[in-house]
Amino acid sequence: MNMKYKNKNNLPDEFADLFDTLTEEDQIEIDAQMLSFKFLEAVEKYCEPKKLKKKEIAEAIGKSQSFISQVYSGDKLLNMTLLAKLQKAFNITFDIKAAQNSLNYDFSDLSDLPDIDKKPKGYWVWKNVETNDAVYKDYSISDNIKLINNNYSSAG
Amino acid sequence: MKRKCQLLVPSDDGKRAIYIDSENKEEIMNYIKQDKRHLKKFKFITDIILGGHRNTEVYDKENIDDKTKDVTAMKFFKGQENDRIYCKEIKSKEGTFIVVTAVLHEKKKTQKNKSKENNIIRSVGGYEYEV
Repeated sequence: MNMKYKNKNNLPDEFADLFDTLTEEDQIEIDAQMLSFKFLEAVEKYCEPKKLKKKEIAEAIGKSQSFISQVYSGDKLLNMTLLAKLQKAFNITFDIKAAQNSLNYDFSDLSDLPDIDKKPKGYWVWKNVETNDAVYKDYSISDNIKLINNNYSSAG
Repeated sequence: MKRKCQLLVPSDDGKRAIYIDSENKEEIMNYIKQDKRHLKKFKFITDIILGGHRNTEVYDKENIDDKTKDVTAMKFFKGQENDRIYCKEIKSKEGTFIVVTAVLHEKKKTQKNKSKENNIIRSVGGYEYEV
């Protein structure tokens, strides 16, 4: 993993707040567009190596080619009925799974951390983290505090 | 001479990143941030690219010859304004896949590339970036 490109703290100040004006509702709209696109992408991948044309998808579900283009562009969304039509038309089943999002700890900047329990082979450190994630509640970890065992042997 | 660019949007896993051409950043940023509609579309396109997806409706190769192999375009509002941000795909020394947003081109008039678009694509093809 390349920290230089992962760490959002490396962003110049002028770009750091680029998406800050987007509300939660806006982000949900974008996520819905991504989901719709991913269903079409899944159909495309399943039908490989045959390169599926938008026209074929459109005809299969009784929609226009322009509608399919708009789904790819994020301007229109697929609904459950259209997903069911896709399944039937291409004789496929969407395999639906849910998975916990990664916690995305960022270990690249530990400068703000106090040196607690310093040991020869590494540190035990704590860092404030977002608490609106259900996983913390599930594990009964107190608000704002999460223990991280991070073997930074070279840091000492 | 190599052109400068700056990190704009990194992926969560650090494997991909969107950069912006330093010389053209003001024009590109003004375009993206002009209203929510444009910002949301840009976010959607960056999510597609940084997620490693292929969606030619919003992001596609624009290679017209051997010298423009790494030139791509972000497509904003096809069939409406039909704006483009022409980009250059590069790899960093560390192996990170980078898309540099290089030149804004508003209101592309025809579906096929005409000489104006081809000139921009050739220019971007010749750009070399310091990352």
